[in-house]
Amino acid sequence: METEKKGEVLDSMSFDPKFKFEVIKTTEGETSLGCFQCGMCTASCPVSEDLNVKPHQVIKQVLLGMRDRVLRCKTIWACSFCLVCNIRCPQGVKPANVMVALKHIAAKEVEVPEGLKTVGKSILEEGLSRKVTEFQNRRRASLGLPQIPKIDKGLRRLLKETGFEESMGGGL
Amino acid sequence: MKYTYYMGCQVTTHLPNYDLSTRKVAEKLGITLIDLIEAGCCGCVIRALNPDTWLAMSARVITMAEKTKLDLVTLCSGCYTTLTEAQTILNEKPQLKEKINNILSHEGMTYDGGLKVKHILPVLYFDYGYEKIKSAITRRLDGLRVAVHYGCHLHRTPAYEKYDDPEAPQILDKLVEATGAESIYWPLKLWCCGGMTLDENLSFKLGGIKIRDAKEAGAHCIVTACPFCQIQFDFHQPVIYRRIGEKYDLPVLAFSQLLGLAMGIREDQLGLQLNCIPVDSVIHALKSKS
Repeated sequence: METEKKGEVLDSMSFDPKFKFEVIKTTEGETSLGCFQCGMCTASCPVSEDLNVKPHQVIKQVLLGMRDRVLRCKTIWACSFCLVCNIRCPQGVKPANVMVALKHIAAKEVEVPEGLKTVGKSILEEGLSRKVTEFQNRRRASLGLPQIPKIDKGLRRLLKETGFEESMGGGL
Repeated sequence: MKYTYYMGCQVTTHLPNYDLSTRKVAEKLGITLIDLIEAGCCGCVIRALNPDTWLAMSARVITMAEKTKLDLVTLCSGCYTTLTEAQTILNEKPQLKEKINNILSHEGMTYDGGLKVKHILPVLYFDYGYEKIKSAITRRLDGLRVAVHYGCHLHRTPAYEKYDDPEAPQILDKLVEATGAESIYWPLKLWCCGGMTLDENLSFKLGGIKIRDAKEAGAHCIVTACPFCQIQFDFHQPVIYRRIGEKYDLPVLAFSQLLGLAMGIREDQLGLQLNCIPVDSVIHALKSKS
């Protein structure tokens, strides 16, 4: 899936310069334009050494309009949202939040990783991000802790109205 | 003191030990916790999938908590970031707030946004008071070397800045040291545990690096203030062993379990038997002294 090659000449005619505007219109991507490529996010990132496309490169690709590459790149899903880049960015870009915005577009258009599909399914069925088992409730009871209630109508309706199932690309 | 008590998914389903020990510590200190277990998820993990769902779920939790007119206290750093960031976004963007309120109106709810969302750690340290906690310690843990782990979503969340330095947080270290234990220096202390990344290999690699670092620094145990980190270090420790072949056998305690031990609460009432890596070495050190 990774596309970076050393010495590769990019065809700028294939870029979509409007992509950055699409990103800044999202709930969490509005700070992207401030990036001046200092690389602080990459230097601070605990996962960057394992990534072919580093966090600051992802932001540059957003600004250049390399839409397809960005949405298919492993980096956006590897981000653990640990926020270290956010507190250190001298431009207030909040790279971790930009990754969330990109994940959102990628989930709609490319794919949702398996782990996140499992979580989404639990949300739809239980109202919690983890599956609830009989064992857990028995264990809680034996400790004198309150039981985990079933998902209620209100939450079901909320999920329907915000189009949650559709946002998983119909991938369930 | 009274709070609305919101656990979040991870604690509710996987960490009854963190839940139980927090309740027992609160009881001991005279803090009343009113359950909000029916509120469901805050939307943390699906934030990337659908921002509207996330904001509506967070707003719903906050609105349900508003009924009691008490500050909301959460055990989970993930919930803390998610709820406080949702509050910031909804308070800054009236159009978005109106949209979310339309969704909530079916349940007769209106998101107001004035509620204070707090994490249990600063609640104990500031609201209850460090000195009072210190005076509640009856069984000192002298000689115990603790690798303190805050969890990124706690100390690097913008809302937390008023409590502590995001690059050099102190309050959990101070609470641990109040018990007589030593909070040791370990180089990777403020690194991410890897629990939130969706890339499994990366996740276990990061988890392994951190546990090894704590062990090499001479820790007897890791103490966490975040359920994701607790699950990663404790439950995933055997998985990390299978994946990368390193066995650490390093006990991992939620900070409420450590405080509870130092306050003389019985071990079974702190759910220590439910920790995945046996905590015998910690308890043994305690017993050999008393």
